[in-house]
Amino acid sequence: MSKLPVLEVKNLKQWFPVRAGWRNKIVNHVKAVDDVSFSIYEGETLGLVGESGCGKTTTARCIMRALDPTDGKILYYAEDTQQPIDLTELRGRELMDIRREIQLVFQDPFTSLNPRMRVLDLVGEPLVIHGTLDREARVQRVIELMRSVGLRPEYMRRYPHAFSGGERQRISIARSLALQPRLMVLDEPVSALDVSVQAQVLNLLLKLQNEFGLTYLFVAHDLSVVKHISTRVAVMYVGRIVETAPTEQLYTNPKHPYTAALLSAVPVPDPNRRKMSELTGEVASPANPPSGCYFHPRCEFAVDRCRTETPALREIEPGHHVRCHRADELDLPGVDILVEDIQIEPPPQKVTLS
Amino acid sequence: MQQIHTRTIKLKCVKNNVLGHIDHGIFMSYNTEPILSVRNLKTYFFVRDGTIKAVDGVNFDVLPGQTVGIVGESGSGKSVTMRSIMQMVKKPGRIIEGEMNYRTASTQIDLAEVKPNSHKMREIRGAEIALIPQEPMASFSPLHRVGFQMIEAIQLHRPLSKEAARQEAIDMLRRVGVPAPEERIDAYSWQLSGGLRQRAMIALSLICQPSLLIADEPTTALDVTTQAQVLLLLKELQQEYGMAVILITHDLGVVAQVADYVVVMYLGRVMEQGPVEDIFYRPKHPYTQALLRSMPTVKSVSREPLPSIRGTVPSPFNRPVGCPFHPRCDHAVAGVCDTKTPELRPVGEDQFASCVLYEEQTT
Repeated sequence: MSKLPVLEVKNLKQWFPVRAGWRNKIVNHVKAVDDVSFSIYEGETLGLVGESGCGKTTTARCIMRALDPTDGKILYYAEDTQQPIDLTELRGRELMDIRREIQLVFQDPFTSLNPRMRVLDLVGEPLVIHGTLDREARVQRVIELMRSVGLRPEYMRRYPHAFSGGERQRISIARSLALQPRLMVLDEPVSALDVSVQAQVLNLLLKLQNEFGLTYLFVAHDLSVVKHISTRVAVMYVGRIVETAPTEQLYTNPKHPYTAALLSAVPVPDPNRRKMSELTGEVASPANPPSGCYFHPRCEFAVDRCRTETPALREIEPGHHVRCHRADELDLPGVDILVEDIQIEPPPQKVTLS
Repeated sequence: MQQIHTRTIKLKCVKNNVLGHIDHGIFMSYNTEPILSVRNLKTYFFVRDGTIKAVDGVNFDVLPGQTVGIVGESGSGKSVTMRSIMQMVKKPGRIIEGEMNYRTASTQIDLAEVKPNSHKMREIRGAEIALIPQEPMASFSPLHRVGFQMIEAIQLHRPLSKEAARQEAIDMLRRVGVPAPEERIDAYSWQLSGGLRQRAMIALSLICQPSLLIADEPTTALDVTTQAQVLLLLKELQQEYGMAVILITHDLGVVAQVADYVVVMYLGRVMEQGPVEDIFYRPKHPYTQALLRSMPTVKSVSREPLPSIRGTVPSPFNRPVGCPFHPRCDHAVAGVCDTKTPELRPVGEDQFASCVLYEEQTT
């Protein structure tokens, strides 16, 4: 993998004002995203995980410039010149040009497709907006796109209601592929799908990435799914990134107590390894976060320093960043990958029929 | 109580032969009476475009103190099964056929015979069989305080004064780990966080100490860390009160962690059922096997294609003829699977699968 960055997020902040009183004065801020920095490199998949309300979707929306970030930089490196363009400063026409290269896939395939538009129009709409092709070429392109996501082109004159959840998500993916983007922001693309369909969509995403050389930012709450698709993972907690590392390293050797707690809370589909450990307490409110390290009220390793001093995101191993004062001294349990996988015996082959 | 529980297997065989229609000597290897035995349950929905066979011949038993996990994808009929047991099937749905024998020391009743809005059913619902619904936000009334709703439930089933009921409710909230229950009892449900709301829901459903608790996707709306908290709490309370639990979920991980016995459903039919170890280590039905293989786990190899199940769950209006899974099954036998609907057959000790591939072994 080349080490050229596609996107670099620097100290991104997205605060939402809380207003009260008869003059509608701003009394507080919900710090949905508070000082988030990360880079995405060409051809990789960065998984962004966290619990609900931790700011992962807000981060994704800031990158798409669906929101105006309060502070910070989002640098996009153009493919040819490698010159950084700050997305937070773009507007109008310039922004529209960049949006060809960064595309978003939404979480819910049931609400993100207009029920009054046919698949042909849904998938072809980006082509109309960016005005690249005439009508005939557009239909050809839609057929091509539908094939590449595994939909039958004959269905292109149908409406979204005629498709199942998995198929609709394929339509969304085809639509975002229409302009041949470089970076795709996938916001929980499989969480609304059934288990048996989830695997299909994950396989499709992997296939498309290899085929078109895409770079993914994969936002999800499901640690198993993120493990499966990502090359690198960033863990968020209350608007901040607490740990980033290459996937294997993060799962086997987590350095932040929150990452370790998240990993141990995942129910493993193995009845002989019943050990869900309990993380006490509740997620802190981004409107009124605790002092020092945001995780300290729930952390079993917290010391006095954690209560007063906010830890910085620092690199403790090459490529492994942690926001914890005690990362060096702690020995945290990761996922036990040494345990053998369950081998499933296939059913007997029936030859004769009675 | 004791008397019922120590009845021998033989007695039960006789009994089941009278009741049952699928008894090929199955469902009989345990020596306690099940608290609930569902036999050939069929719940259909009669809509303008045809009949939806939401639940089509479901059989399973729940033993006292046991946790039975019902897993299935959307449209598998797991929630309708739950609603049928509670006699809460909404129109145009109707229980067509089948038995749901509910037995405790004090009651013995076929729930399928009881009218949904009868006095008897109201006595059972909430007191004997309680429900934890999927979405606690939608299940609590936003206009009434949490305490009011709990006190209402207590006074409906037990002759207690308002003050005594309130005290009981506070104790119960404390038991499920709600901090400062004296204050939270006067909160509205929307003032509580997701985890607390689900805890309050658990408190509400356990307030009359039911013998059977049905939890319909109790943790689906929650985050992983909160999910672990709620599941551990449920487990603890189950041991304390000795109740049986039916856990309905689509998450195989959750089932593996808490269930004793697993029922795998697909399109209204039971595909496979058995003890949790058998289902996860020795799954027999091609559907169960494919489901387990297609699931990404935290320890699976990254970025390798998953062996997925092809196609999608068919619409309930055009259910495949024969085995409901055959169009998506890699082991389907042409001419057999698409004509004949297989029945549950024993494929191991206490383990049953409905697949033609295993039918030879029984004859």
